[in-house]
Amino acid sequence: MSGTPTRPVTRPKSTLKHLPSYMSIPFSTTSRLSLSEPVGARHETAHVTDASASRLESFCAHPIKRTSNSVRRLLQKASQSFRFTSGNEQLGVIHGMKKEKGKFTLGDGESGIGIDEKDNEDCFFAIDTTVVRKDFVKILPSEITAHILSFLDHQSLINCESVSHPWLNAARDRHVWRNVFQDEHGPWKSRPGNDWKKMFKVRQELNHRWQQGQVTAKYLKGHTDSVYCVQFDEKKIITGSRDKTIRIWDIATGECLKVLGRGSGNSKFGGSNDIVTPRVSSVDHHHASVLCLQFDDEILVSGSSDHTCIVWSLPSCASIMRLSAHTAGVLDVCFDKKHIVSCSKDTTICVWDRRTGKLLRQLTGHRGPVNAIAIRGNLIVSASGDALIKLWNVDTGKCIRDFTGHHRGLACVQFSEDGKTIVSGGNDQDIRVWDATNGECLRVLQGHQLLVRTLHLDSRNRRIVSGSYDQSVKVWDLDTGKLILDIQRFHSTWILSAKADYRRIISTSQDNRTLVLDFSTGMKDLEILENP
Amino acid sequence: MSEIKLLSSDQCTIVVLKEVAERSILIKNMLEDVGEVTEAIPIPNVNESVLKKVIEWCEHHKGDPPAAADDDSDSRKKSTDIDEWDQKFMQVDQEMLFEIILAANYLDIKPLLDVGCKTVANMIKGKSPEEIRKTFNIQNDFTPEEEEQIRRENEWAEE
Repeated sequence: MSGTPTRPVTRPKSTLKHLPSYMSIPFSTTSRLSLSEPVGARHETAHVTDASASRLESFCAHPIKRTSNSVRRLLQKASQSFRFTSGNEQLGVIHGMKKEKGKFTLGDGESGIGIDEKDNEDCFFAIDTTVVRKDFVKILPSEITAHILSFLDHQSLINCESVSHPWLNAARDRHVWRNVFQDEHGPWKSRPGNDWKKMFKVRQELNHRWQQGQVTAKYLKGHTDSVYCVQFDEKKIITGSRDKTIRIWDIATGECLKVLGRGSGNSKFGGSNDIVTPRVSSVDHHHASVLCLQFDDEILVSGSSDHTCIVWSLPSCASIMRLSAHTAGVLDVCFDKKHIVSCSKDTTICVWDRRTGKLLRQLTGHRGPVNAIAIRGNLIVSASGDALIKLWNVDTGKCIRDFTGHHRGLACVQFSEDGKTIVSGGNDQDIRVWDATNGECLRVLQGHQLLVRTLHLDSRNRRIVSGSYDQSVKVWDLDTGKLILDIQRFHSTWILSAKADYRRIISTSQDNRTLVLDFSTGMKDLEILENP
Repeated sequence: MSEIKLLSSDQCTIVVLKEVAERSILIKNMLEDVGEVTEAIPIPNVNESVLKKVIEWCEHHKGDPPAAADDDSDSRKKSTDIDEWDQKFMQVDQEMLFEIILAANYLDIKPLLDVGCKTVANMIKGKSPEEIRKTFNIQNDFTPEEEEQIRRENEWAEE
């Protein structure tokens, strides 16, 4: 084989025996390294790497630093060779190493003094603890540096900016900030040209306002009776009411864009406030209170006291089909890509094919009205007036588990985004957080003074928003259970529904109004956070 | 079980189980391309001591299940937790640490690259700029004015 090594000295392992005599002087001054155990000393060497800077400085200033460094080098090499030997025996794999070719060269380090640094230069890979602190930003390719910095939290990353010019450039890399943003604030749509650091800054400011309760309120008026349900996205708000209509609102202006249904026809309806609102004359609409709704980009599903659900096409708002099987009011509805699930005062849960509207199965087991329902993966969770939460398999219709703990009827239930956590609330005024996988109650959130009517679990922002008959909306930290915000006084009667995103809470009430609480009013650069 | 030979940049031959070597996607792809090899595979960018370190890691992790696609996973917080064995493994000086990272990058061993990068990240975490400079022996090349400007730009992040 070619490439005969140029290293002249092969150091037998027995060198280790000589180590203590080298060591005594330098290491007594630098402390810590244990000389009697060369293998363990390897770890101590690493320790020195991490040691406080002041210690390093004094270490470097020591007149015999060359000796000590070279001894450390020697020690390290020796201990490494030791380790590999034992590694061979244990693993029985790494063999055939040509030790006789002099890899355990100690070179000039041995003498401990008078090192010619140039000698070392052709030996690029020599483990030389004299240069144990290296500015990796200058050595590693920029993509690896970016990968390293991506593992940091934002505060550490910001500290990196102040280290040096090369670090400043590395730390401002937008890919790094993108990772840090998404770690701390969850996935976010990536658009070309996103300034992730600026986005992070805006999010930070927003979070601060949530903590402080710094918010502006705006009411949407138009419904002529209690507003039972709400959902919203970046563009629109959709509400359902006891006045039998569904309304679609522009979230930016608060303007009512569409009314689905004919309304209750009572005297208040069609007042001056309402004349301007455009109507959709759909062939179909609800004939009683709209109690629940959910929408995505393609459909809106509403459930009503008229015992049915209507599936509407979005954005046209044309009714596609009506789902009939329940024998009492539909109290809650949810859907995923395949199924629509509805629950009713008739104590049953219906699972429908989202595309065809065919009733796939009806789940029975609750002994009271099923007030709330949620679906995640192949699991359905339901909450009933019978005080039970049940977990069901959507494909088999079998009940997997009951969650017991609440001692009064339940009004609301939600899944976390990953389906591992469930939150529930009801007439006993407690909010409970459950481990969906084993039925264990993880936490009880106490604070509401009357029935907890609505819950929204915002997994991405790690918040739970609750609304109660006590007229308050409360915000809780999902991870700690701590009450973050207690919003009183904005509604004058029972709160029936509340949802939240990163910058808003929208709640509805018996007072016919929909309340938009915006934490971002007047904030600069907010638009960079908005999804397109 | 079949073995293959690797030739380090400094011309040392290391015999290793194929299964172990194939933790390196680079080597795995190479072996798939050329089929049976009796010659030592040259690894021109990695010297013997680093290559042995890398092989030690591959040996320990040879049975690891393939990593789940980490994009869009639910585990939001990217953990800089490192398992105990890997922590011990990474207790090397900075020179070796950076060499391992470079080798893992070159040999395309993503989990090892991640462990290495996390190790470095943990050396930075929670440190002040001055502490970071000391840790990696960096000269502060900012003027006081520049320092002040960066500080002002980042005021928002102060708790």
